[in-house]
Amino acid sequence: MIITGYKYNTEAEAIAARKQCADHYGIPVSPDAVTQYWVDYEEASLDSPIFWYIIYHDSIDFLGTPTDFEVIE
Amino acid sequence: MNKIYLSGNYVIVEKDGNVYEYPRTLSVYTLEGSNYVIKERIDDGQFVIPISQIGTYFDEAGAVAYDEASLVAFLRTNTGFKTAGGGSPAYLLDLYNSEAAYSLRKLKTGVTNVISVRRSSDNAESDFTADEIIDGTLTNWVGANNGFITRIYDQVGTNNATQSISIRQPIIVKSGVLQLTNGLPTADFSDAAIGDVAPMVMGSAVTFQTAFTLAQIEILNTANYIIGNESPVQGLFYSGSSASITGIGGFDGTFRQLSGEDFNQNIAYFNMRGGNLYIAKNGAAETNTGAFSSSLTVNLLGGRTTVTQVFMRGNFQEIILFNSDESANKAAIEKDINNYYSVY
Repeated sequence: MIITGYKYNTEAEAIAARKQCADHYGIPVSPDAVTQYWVDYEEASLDSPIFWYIIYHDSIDFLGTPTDFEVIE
Repeated sequence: MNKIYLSGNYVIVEKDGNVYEYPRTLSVYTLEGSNYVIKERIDDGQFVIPISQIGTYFDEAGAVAYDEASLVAFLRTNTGFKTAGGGSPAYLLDLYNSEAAYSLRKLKTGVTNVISVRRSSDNAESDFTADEIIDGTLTNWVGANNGFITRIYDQVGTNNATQSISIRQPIIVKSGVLQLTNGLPTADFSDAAIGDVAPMVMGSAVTFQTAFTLAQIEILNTANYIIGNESPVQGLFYSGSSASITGIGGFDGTFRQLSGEDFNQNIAYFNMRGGNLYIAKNGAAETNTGAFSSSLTVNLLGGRTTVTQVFMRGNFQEIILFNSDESANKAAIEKDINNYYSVY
């Protein structure tokens, strides 16, 4: 499956990008809020080597220009 | 001692030494202000029980005092469900014991909030009752922006369904307008312009034998699972573009379903008994669709896994799950759902 988004070689990088998006939108607004993140990351666990990615959405353009890459399902 | 009980075909009310008889097939009850009123359909004679005095009424043996929930359950069981001039004040799940229940309407006495909503203007979140969804409270709070459902409360327990990722939350207010299906509030899981809406996650997995669902598919995804589970892969779906899917059905490793896909709002009934899956749509007689598991276990509402092709792309209004054989109550439960939503 071809994904348009942001690809990361380590999970720590994906987590940092997820936090960058949440911080950009001021999420979470309170400790008990249901909403914890703006976007989430996924693990391409069947790929070798494994990588992590965030699917593109126009609300996270500030992460940079997205790329197309294949994820094995 | 004041009492309320059933004797033969009469609801008997004893108060202050007087005995009042209400033929159960001719009597109804209503909630009028802070009073429950029992009366005959064709007679103005009525008996008024203030909510504050419910606890002074006992069962026939004088052993158990009523509370509001047990009084409503008794009246709902033993009097008519509907008055000529209006609806019943009692709720569907006052009468039936379900395992989990998610809806945008109130299903049980004592339930307060039915959903939590995040507004797009500042990402603040707030809880809303079913009445507040339709009386303008919700849209006033959201303003001219969007409102997203972050949580659908389990109305019979604490197994709430949540979505913690902003762009995956279903929408209920769009640009200040309450989203509706057939005139009543709906959770829209299909609006790709808003985000990549994904299933909501139940607090813990629910095992069920019977399900009643109300939804409307808008986009023919590969499989539109209304509830599901990732491991093991199983769930209930409404339609799909997959060649394996022909209509409303269930999957436990094998597809079992009714034929006939549509984009209508549908009340579906699923019942697993005797090693088979029985399905019905919109009050029709059930169909034995073939061999199936004796129950399903699910933890997602609005999809089956994290794979987008099996997300529900449509409008959700209600799911009630029973871990019991409710085939004997099929008609009554469908009738209650349809009385409210006017699907068929």
